[in-house]
Amino acid sequence: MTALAESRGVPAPSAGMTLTKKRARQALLLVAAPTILMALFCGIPLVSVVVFSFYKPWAYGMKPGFVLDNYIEFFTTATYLQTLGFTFLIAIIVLPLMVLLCYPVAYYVCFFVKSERLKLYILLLCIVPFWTSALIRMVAWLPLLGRKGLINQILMGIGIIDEPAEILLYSEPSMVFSMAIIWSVFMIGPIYFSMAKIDRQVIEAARDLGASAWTTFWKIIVPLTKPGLATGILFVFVVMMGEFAIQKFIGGGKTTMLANVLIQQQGLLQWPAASAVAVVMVLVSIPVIVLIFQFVNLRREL
Amino acid sequence: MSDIAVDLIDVTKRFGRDILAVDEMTLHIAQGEYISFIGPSGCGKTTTLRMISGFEEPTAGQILIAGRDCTHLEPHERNTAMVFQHFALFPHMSVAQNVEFGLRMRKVTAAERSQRALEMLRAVDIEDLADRAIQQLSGGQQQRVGLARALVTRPDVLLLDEPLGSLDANLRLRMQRELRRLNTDFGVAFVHVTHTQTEAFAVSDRVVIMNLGRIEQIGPPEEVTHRPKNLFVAQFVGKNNILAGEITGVDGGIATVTGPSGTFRARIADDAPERRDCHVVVRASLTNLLLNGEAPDNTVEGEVSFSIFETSQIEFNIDLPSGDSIRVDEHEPPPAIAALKHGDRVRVGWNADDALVVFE
Repeated sequence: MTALAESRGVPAPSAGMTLTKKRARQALLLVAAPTILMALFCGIPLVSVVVFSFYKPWAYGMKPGFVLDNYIEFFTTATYLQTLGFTFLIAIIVLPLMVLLCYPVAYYVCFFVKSERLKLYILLLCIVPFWTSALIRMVAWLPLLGRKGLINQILMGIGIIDEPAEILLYSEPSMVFSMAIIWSVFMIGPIYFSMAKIDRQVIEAARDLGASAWTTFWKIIVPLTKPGLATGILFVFVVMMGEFAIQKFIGGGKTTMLANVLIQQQGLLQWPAASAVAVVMVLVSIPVIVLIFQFVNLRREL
Repeated sequence: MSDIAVDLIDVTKRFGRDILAVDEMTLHIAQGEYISFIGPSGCGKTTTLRMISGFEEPTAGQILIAGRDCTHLEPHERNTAMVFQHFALFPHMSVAQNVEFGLRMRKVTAAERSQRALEMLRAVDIEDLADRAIQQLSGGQQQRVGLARALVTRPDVLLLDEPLGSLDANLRLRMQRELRRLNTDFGVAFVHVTHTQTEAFAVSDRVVIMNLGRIEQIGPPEEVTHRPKNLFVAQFVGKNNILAGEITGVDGGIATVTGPSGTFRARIADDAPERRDCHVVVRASLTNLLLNGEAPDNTVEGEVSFSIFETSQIEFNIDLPSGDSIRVDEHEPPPAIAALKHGDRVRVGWNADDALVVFE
């Protein structure tokens, strides 16, 4: 630690050290720990992924080198490009759907639930799925959505359908649906917190100045929850880019998203190709993230 | 148009079963009048304001605004405007957009909107800030935006909820004058809720003193200060000395009251209740320390407990043998009085005309 602090131009402690210097040193030490952690476990892997993506592929691994083969293969293979397109299509469907589902939940908890304790319990309820592993979260859908699952049983029982509905499981709609439910906490949380930050008097002021409840919602509440919306969309988008289990267990493996390609290549020990997919994944995410930051100044609002 | 801005008729507000916030209150607020509500916390002053604005619905009674029955109307359906303690400006809008909001809701055309907003910003002296973001404004400037935003809608009544509560002392004094000026310039009724009496007295035509959901006294600031109607008002308003006693005789509007601290003569109202238990009230500024054997109508003797220096006056706290204590405000006292210190024996006196008999 001392060596690191010195290397950044902070003098070693001495008898004449001023208070501000002491504070600066403390601050530096506080920042150092997460910086080292991030460098070790995020920076180095990220750099190596970029480096590996230019390595030469080989049947059982890779050889050092600098070739563009991996990227050329990705961008010339129709299935990969379709997968990329499909991933974005799912994002375009899932994100608005989640906003529509999660905004009312956050609104309800924020403005209609009076007891602070009940608010906490409802928000905790959103986290319950995360008490278990990702795999179990997926498998848990099967008894509900499967051919002989609860929903089909009920629908057939009350005579709405004669045959089990196939669309409930192993289909794109079921994928979209389960994504929206499983990740809802990432959307409800940020929206709720930016909503709870709105001064109740500001809402009263709008009502007092002649705005109906509807107008107050659109002119005051929605604009002031933009940071929460943006954060939620950002969270879900990032999680979605890395998701591969939902496609497998609920999508039935018929349709693949970008992360599935990565997993597949990795399974075949095609490290350079997998790395190239990872780099593409990061690169295509950047414009989306930039777009979200254009939409709202998170640094200022949070 | 009626010349009454707000009529409160037997207005009652209960929260749940047990809490009676406002109890059968009747009050008429004239157009252009500046009226303040003061009272201890929980006395119902804020609830009354919120019932006029429409944020609370009365349990019983009627509220007319400019002659129109608004008892059960939503806040946006009545022509009132509120100024909030923490300003409650819209943080995502500029100053001008904030001021125009109410006009936008009233479907005023864009051209008229910006013209009226600019006029109003000029009236509150911040026309050069029109394009600023709210976060860039100081507390005083934000309060002016709050005032402009409320007044620009030409409300029948302007409601001010602790409007100066979050400003520092000097700014508060300046904004008091500003409020008074705006009230005169616009001729709109102002209803001001505060827990600071000096603020209420400084700005108001009439002051309403509330306690436990009821009005204890309504009147111009001089009247409630000089002629408190009952013990509560005497205790709450100004700096009064209050001495308990029993009436032993009344002669020509002056009662003789005997209590543990002595026998005193004090004015008594003609319509005073026929009761013996009473309190003598005399303002600290009307009592004097007697050094030269003067003999006013009432005198007591005691010991100086402590004194407080207040720029142009000194407040002496005198302990009486009875256990009561008396506060004496000496305005620019001579050195002989200013030098009095803890333990000095003194005589305190006041005239019968300056004292008043009140009842519980």
